[in-house]
Amino acid sequence: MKKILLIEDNEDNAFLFRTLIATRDYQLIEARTGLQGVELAGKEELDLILMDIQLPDINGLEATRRIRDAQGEETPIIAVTSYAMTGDKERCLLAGCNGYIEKPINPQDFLHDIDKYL
Amino acid sequence: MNLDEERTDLMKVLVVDDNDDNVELICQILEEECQIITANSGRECLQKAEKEQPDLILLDVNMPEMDGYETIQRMKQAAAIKDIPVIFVSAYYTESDMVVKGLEQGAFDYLTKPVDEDILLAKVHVVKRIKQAEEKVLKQKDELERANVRLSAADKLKSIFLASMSHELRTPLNSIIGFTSLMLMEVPGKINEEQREQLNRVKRNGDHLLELINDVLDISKIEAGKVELGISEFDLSELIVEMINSIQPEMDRKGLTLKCELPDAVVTILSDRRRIQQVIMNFLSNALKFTDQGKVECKLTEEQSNCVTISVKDTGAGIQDDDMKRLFEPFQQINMDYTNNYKGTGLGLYLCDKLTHLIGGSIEAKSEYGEGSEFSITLPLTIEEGGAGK
Repeated sequence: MKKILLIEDNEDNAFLFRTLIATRDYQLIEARTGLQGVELAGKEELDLILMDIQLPDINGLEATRRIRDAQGEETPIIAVTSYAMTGDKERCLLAGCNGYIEKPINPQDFLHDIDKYL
Repeated sequence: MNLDEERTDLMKVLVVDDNDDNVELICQILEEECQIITANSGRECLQKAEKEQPDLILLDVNMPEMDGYETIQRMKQAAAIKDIPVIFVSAYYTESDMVVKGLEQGAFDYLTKPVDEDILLAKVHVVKRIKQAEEKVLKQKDELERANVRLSAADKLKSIFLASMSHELRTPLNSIIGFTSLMLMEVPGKINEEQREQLNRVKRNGDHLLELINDVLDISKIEAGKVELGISEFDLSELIVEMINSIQPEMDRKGLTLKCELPDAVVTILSDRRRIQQVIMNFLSNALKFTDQGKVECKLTEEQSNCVTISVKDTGAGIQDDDMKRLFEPFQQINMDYTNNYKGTGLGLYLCDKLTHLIGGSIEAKSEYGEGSEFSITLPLTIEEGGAGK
């Protein structure tokens, strides 16, 4: 079963993503902070990482860079963020994300997008 | 004017003449309203001018050693005193070419000897008025500069505020729209028709709120001149079909006929797809919003000189002549009488106008009150390098 790591600090949003992902045959593990996320990414065999950008300790951009430094390019990382101003998407891609999804998400598009990576 | 100001208001005048009687005469005339310094030679004039920074120099032309002409030439070369106005005083000013010589060397004015009291005072007053005007300009310039600093600080703060507002509003909206969609998708379980209707309302209002945030952000970007265009080549007919399909269900729900007329050949355009979509979707949702019965027609026509026109025509409420003028201004909505028959921010058409110009096009509105309206944009098939903003 494909394994997804969700790094998201907002409990309501995490609940939403959890519920959505539960409609598919994927296994989900979760982190609430950037550092937790980096740690889990180092331990687990992952097929996809969903990365919030505003996080309590290190932000999603920094977390992405650390994961890329330690693990390389293998696991796709998608930024899922409320940062939707000019340049935000580019900043995410520059940090090493493969994709960018703007919040609020459209649930169907969201599922469609993550299916593409798995 | 208070006392302090009056005192600093005193003109400081440097009187230069090798003849003490002449100096004395001028001093008597000016002593009431000027602070006077004297010098007996060109050399002393330069020294005192530098040290005292007078507001005006009355300079005798005919002096031994360094005459008035040489004195002013040297003054003009010294940064600290080159701008002090000089009035030449001479008994030789009988020929006009001497007057001209003095003025050409940078003198402000001239006086003939024997000095006429009224003329001297009048000329000193002119210099004083100029000095006051200059001081006022300097003060205003200073105020402007300070205001400018405050403005850029405020502008920076506004950008930070907008970015953070956008982020903070999107986060809860993600849950609102997300969970509503989830229930509408019947992920947690079956819903009945009444529940579906109510959830659809929550969803629509959530979407509306999101549009509002996006509109406000777009406008702030446009006004700050920070819009980046995403130029690509694409099939315009295909884009229109896509938009028609997305709005069809809502047109059906209102019982409106939606027609779409496209040219037979593919219309390839090099432009900003997202911006065109934004404008046309705005036209279509306005048509939907303001039309209660009849039809909405969307038409794509190829024009001469490498342009295309996209129009959206409805059989809706129409617009009165008075309102036509304010159509593309921000925060204008027709019938803004708090009854709010038609929801909206009043930003839509303002944004359409700005966006259309950004991509090098023009926008037009026609309407007959009670009969319907037609909105259209005309766009170049190839956007010019560097966008537009014409």
